[in-house]
Amino acid sequence: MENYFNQISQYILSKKQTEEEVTVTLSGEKTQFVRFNKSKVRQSTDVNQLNLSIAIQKDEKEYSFDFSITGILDNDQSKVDDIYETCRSRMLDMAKATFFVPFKNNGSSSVSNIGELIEITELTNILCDETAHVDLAGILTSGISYRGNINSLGQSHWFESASFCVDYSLYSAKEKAVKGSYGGSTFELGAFKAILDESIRNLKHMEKDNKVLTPGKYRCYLAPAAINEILDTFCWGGTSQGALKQGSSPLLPYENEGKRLSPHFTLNEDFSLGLTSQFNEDGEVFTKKLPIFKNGQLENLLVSSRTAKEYGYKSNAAGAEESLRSPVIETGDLCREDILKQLGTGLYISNLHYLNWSDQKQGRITGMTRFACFWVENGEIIAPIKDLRFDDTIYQFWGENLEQITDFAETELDNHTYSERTLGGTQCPGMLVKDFNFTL
Amino acid sequence: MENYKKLLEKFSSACDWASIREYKEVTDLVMARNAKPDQISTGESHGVMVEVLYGGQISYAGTCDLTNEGIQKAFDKALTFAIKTKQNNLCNFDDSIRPANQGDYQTKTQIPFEAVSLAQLQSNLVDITKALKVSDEIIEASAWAMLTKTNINYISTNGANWSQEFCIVSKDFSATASRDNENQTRSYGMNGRQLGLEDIDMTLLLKEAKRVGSQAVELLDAEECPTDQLDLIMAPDQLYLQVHESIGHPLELDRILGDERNYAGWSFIGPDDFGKRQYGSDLLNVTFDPTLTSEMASYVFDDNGVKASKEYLIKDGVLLRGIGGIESQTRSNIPGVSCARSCDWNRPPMDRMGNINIEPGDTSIEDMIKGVKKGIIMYTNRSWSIDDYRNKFQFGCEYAKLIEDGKITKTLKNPNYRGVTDSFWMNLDKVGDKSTYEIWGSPYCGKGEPNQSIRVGHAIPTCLFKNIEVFGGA
Repeated sequence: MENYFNQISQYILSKKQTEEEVTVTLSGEKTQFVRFNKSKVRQSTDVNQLNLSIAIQKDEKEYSFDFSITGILDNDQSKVDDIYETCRSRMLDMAKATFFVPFKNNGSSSVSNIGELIEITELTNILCDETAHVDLAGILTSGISYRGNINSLGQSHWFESASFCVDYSLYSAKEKAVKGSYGGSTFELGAFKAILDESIRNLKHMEKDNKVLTPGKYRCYLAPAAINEILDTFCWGGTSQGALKQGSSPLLPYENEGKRLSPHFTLNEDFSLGLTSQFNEDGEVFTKKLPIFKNGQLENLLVSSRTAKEYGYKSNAAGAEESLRSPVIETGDLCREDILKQLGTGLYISNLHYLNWSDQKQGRITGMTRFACFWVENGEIIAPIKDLRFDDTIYQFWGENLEQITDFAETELDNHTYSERTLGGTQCPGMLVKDFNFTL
Repeated sequence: MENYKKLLEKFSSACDWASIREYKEVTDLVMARNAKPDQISTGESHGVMVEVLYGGQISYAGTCDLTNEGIQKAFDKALTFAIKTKQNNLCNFDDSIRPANQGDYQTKTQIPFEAVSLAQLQSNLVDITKALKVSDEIIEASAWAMLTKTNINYISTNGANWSQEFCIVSKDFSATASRDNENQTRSYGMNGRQLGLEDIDMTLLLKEAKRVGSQAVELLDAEECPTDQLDLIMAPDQLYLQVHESIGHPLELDRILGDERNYAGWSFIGPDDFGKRQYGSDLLNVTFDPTLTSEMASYVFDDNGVKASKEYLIKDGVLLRGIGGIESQTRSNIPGVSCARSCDWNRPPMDRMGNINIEPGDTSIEDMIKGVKKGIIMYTNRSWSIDDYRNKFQFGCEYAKLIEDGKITKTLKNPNYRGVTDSFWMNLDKVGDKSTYEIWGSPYCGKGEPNQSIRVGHAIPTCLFKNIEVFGGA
């Protein structure tokens, strides 16, 4: 695929006129999705897609056109001819870009993480056989993703990655559920069975009657998957320099009112996870590791070239959204065996669901508990809880109420598949938090 | 279609049934910020989805390789999967779930997209951002418009042959006002309609932009929304999302059947509730209506090729039908609607909302306000969250007014409310008349594994709810 991308890009660049600069971007995948319900196949979809983007700059004007291509050079060349002409004619009466950032050569890279994936029908039948005795719902995703970026100034980047992921939940007869996932580049039946067995064991904990709690403040242990959900919401505007300038950032109280996060809290953008490309949509290469918060102090926000131009900052090669693509929260000193003991009496929260800013400008997030969440008394799991809604600010649960962070972290692949498989992931530890605020 | 027909003739001997759905969508996105032009971009998605029925199992393969060889390869992949995993099939379908309908549909437009250049459209948006800046306290003013044209051609081995063309305009604009450490944002409210460029009515939009900018500044002086149990009047630009989250999603039959349990969630509604359950007060009448001209998700055929018609989901408060296409209806024996849709060529159809509307009642907004001793009117959604069974919810709005003794008295900032679906709709006390009825829609309803974001419509009157828990900001 890299060769094909080079071929079609060279064809596009050969069409450019002297006063034009051009960036060509490719995003593609060959993916199989298999959806399960009751441990059987509900729907299967094979997807072969290639999307090309041509961005043209001329006279400080810029216009981009994304389109599907077939992957067959003759066919795609004639489509490129049409689209290039459309771009040129549309740019004639366009205004100059307000914050024009000219393309430049941001270097070259080529990364290939291609393993040998097990054939999809074989894997599907293994999963159905191994889970026939339980009620499993979820999705198997397997395949190769591609990202490429070449421009007329000599920049050239390529990233490809092959992986699979089984994202599932198991259900008891009483509609109780636990969540699990297994992914990587090589499927090992033993490893999958071990994860599945742990899920089955956890499901047995859920068989007791629910403890119904009244809204209020509770001491909580938030497992890595729950922290991952909070981090995902925080990334929605929380790390953006532009959002701070435009008055929509959750860090406004940090900036204006002196509110701070806990000294336990350290957050980095860290591409050493190797889950996604280090270059952004413009081919700018992000540094391997950048601290965002260090011991509760804001060190850096993400600054795109465009924000840099508009507000006079230095760009750190962030993407246009100025959102973390490979975030890592650093671990602390709470070991796994001590979690329940240190929690004492309170809530063990494995997963959260449907988070959203309830007051973004104040850093307040709401969401629900989901899957295996338990009431714990004196360090012992007593019963699963009926779902609760929380509504609390980052300045509380990542600030003065954050007591301890686990000494381990879990890597979670980004399993979003809107339009295409999203690359990237997070690494989060668990957190012990006092007075976590539940409202419903 | 002739080429697809020949391919299907070839495919038909190897499987029990097959179809080809060609999908092409072109979207122009135009933006402006702070009285200046911002980005313009275009996106085109074009491919085919081959659907194969073999031994009771349906498999899909989507490809952007539109050559005969590419489509043949997709067919082979889908067929191979169906054959090799047949023993693990959840549902056992036959071709009766794919009716052989024929026909076509086209959005009715007055001004075609091509009538105005993208540069001119951007110039209009720049004017809107100028109108938003009603004072120096506006620190950010932005506007965007998205023009989407979608063409779907569908043909099957048992004689289905139909085409649909949708033209959709989506737009929004907003202003953020700032003073000292207070920042408040007010927006027009993201909306999408099946219309041509007549939807970019500059006389109306400039007037609305001034209102939005003024209200953003007004919020800087507003009191915090109180924490209380009050009567709540919801404007259509908030209520449509309440309907979406707490009526639309829980009534989806694929959720009730458990397909969505691992991602979007299950439902507090069970199969036995249909035809019996009192979902809300007897003023609640909810329809699935794909026939309402200009609403976002109007169509003639869903992506299973089933003809679409208006149906009552809830009548006089009683739950009658689910939001489930022909597959879910077959699996559950619950009455549904023609709502199996996919968001693109690369995704299979599943149960989606389409247009889910509240039928208007007979109360004017003036009478509604007059009847409230103490209450709040909330406008324009800014935050939403609901549990995986679609019961416990919390919503936040941009702007509110306090009602005291039947009169509007003050502006309130940071208005929020929370509740439980199961009891919330029973508190519906007044339904607004036609004069309060507005057509809203969102281009971004997310669901499914693999994920699909699809367009939905909601036509809604203003409504009054009794005894709702309201609260203010942090």
